[in-house]
Parts: sequence; C-alpha cells; structure tokens
Amino acid sequence: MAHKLKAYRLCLLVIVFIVAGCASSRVEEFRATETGMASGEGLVLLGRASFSDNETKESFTDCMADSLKGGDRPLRVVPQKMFRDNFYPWFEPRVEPTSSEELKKLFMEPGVKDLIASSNIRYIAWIEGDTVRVDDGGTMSCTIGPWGGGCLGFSYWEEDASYKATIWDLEKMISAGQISSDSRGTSYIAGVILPIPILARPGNAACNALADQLRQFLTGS
Amino acid sequence: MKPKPNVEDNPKITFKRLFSLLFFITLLSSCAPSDIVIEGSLPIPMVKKIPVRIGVHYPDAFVDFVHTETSKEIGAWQIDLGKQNAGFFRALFGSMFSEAVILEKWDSDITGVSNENTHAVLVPQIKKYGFLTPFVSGLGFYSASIEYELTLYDSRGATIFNWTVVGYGKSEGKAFGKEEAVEQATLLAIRDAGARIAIEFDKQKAFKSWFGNLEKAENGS
Repeated sequence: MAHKLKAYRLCLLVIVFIVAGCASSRVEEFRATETGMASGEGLVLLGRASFSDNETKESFTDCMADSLKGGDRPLRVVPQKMFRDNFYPWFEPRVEPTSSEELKKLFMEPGVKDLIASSNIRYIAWIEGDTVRVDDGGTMSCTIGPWGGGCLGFSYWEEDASYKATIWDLEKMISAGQISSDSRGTSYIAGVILPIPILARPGNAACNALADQLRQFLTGS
Repeated sequence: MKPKPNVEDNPKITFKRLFSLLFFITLLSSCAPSDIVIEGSLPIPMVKKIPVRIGVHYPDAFVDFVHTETSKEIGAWQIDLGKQNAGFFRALFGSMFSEAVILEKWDSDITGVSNENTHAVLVPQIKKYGFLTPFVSGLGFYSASIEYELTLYDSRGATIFNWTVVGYGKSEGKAFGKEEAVEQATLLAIRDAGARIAIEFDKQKAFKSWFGNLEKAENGS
C-alpha cells in the first residue's frame, strides 16, 4: 500500500512538472486585403533588424520557414540569405524598406522589379520580436570531480516569446495585414544528483503558431 | 615490503591522470591567442552604374590590414581582414562604375599631374576597426565595426571629397565559437558599409557637383 502511494505521488509530481513545462500561445490577426497564392508563387521571411539585443534571431525565421515548407499544404519559401544576397544592397538592415511607400520607390531601382518577377516572389513577411526571460528564481549547484559529481537544488525561469509578422503583397504593392503571436512558458530544473530539466519552449510554440496562422492568412485555408 | 601497484592496470589512477590532462588542456586552450583570417563570400551589388571611368588605388595599409588587440578581458586577438576587404571592394567598385581600373601606384602628393586615362581616382582606407564580445558589452552577441575613409581625386590629383563610412555587423555567439562569431560580425560590417557606399556614393553633394561639371565638359557645353 505504501509503495503504491509513493508511485502515485511520483507520477503526480512528474505530471505537474510536464504540465508546468508547457507554453501557452495567443495569436491575433489583422487583415487589410484579400490574399491568395497561385501555384509556384513564393514568399520570403525577413527578420527586421534593430541592432539591439532584442533583434529577431535567424533561428526563429528558419524555424518558421521549416514549418511553412512542411505539412500537408507546403508553401514555397525563398531562403532569407539567398534573397538578401540576390537583392544586395537593397534589403540590408540599414537600407531595407520600412513601408510599402518605400517599397514602391525601391521597385523603381533598375533590375529590382524584374528580379522579383523572375523569382516569382509574391509576399514578403517581415518578422519582428524576440524571446525574453521575464522572471527567474531558485538556486541549484553542481560539482564535478575525479570521483564523480552531482547537482542539488531547484531553479526555474519564465520566458515570453512575442513576435509579429507584417505581410507585404508585392503584386498589389500594399501591406496585406499583420499577425502577432505571444507565447509564455515556465521551465524548471530540479537537481536530485542528476539535473532533471522540464523545459517549456515558448519560442518554438510562437514559431509554430505564427507559421500556421501565416499559412492560413496567405492561402485562406 | 609492500608491492608497488601497477599504474597501467589501475583504472582509478588512469582516470585521475586523464582528468588532470584534460583539465590542463582546457586551461591552455583558453589562453591561446585567437588568430583569424576573415574569409567568406560577399554579394555583388545590383545598382545602376555611375558613368565614370575610375582609377582605384588600394594602399598597402588597406590590403595588408591586420587588427591586433590584447586585453585582460578578451585575451589576444589577431584579425586579418585586408585580403577580404580588397576582394570585396574590387567587386563593389567594378559594379558601381562603368569602368574601374586598378592603379598599382598613386601618390596624392603629386598634384597637377594629369591622368587622362581615368576621370577620377578613388582611394579607400581603413581608419578604425573594432569588435566587442558579449563578455565586454554585456549583450548576447558579438559585434564588429569598420570605419572606412574614401577619398576621391580628380584626374589632376585635387581632392574632390573625403567620405567616412562606418559599417556595423553583429553575430550570435556560441559557447566555443568566438572566432567564428567575430569573423561573421566582421563580414557583416564590411557588407553593411558596402551597401551604404553602393547606394549613397553618387548622392554625395561634392560628387554631384563634380559629376555635373564632368558631364558639361564631356558634352562640350
């Protein structure tokens, strides 16, 4: 009976950790115009540069690109680096267009409009945001030596992943709309000789939520 | 007399020795100077060619530029970026002007000596280079900046204008990839400065004035 009770408590503890390790997401959408993607048309995801510590990391746009390229309804996603190289210097962080008005001016530069047309790129999605740690606590210490090692203690941290995608329609030369995704999650590490991590991944949750909503926004399904 | 233990067969002693060896190797490797040669591909700009036949002189200090820095905080660094710079600027000026000729010798002090083969002579120089590690800046990335000075002389050796351009680049750092992160940040700084040069060179007031006079002279008005 006592063994059963211990096993029950252990299971309960593990479930509590797993549930607490999950991240919750909220997605919002603003649509300015009708959208759609014909066969062969593509989009490019560009991380908006801010030169601050909270700039969108390339790993986030890569995660979104992988998510959009996969699944039942894959989209053609032009790699960010290839796009910036092909259109150098027009999409460099310091000179990239910040509004659809600037985009119209950019299209008047020799070769830009033709290259967009030949690359069959219909949309640009500008990605802004970052994952930041909003709270942390607890203590844990680990030691290691020739005779072995171990950890003791408990530590947690809470992260907030807040991202926004602004979609530009290169055919209509307008901003088609905006999608935002906000995910929060708390991760834990319990040190009981071995460190046991229960990790929430709000950045990953925000990436998948934003990619799914973007796919729906562009294809309407 | 107690028999001497066979060291070779004792796993505990072997493990201790291996641990000590690894510990000292780690200590030594952390003290090793970071010697980097900046390499990597940079794109060719897609800009409208300026209808000027230009001579470009790359001073030895530009082509052989090596940055060395030693401090308690970051250790010893030697960064060779001259060759990469020279290669990039050759491609940059080749795409910016209708014709770009490399001048092996050029002395700005020899004024009044007519150079009929080119309309003007451009001399790029690196005035400053610097980089920051996350340890020094307290931010989560490596960054680099390069200050260039471009001097444009007319065909008789008189200065048309001096233009200072600063390029900035940043790269996410990895635990054991500090050299790679600084190299990436430096490449992005070169690329950033190149973008500004490609877009803004012909918009400089002094250049526009000189070019206007050149056009008038060529048209015979």
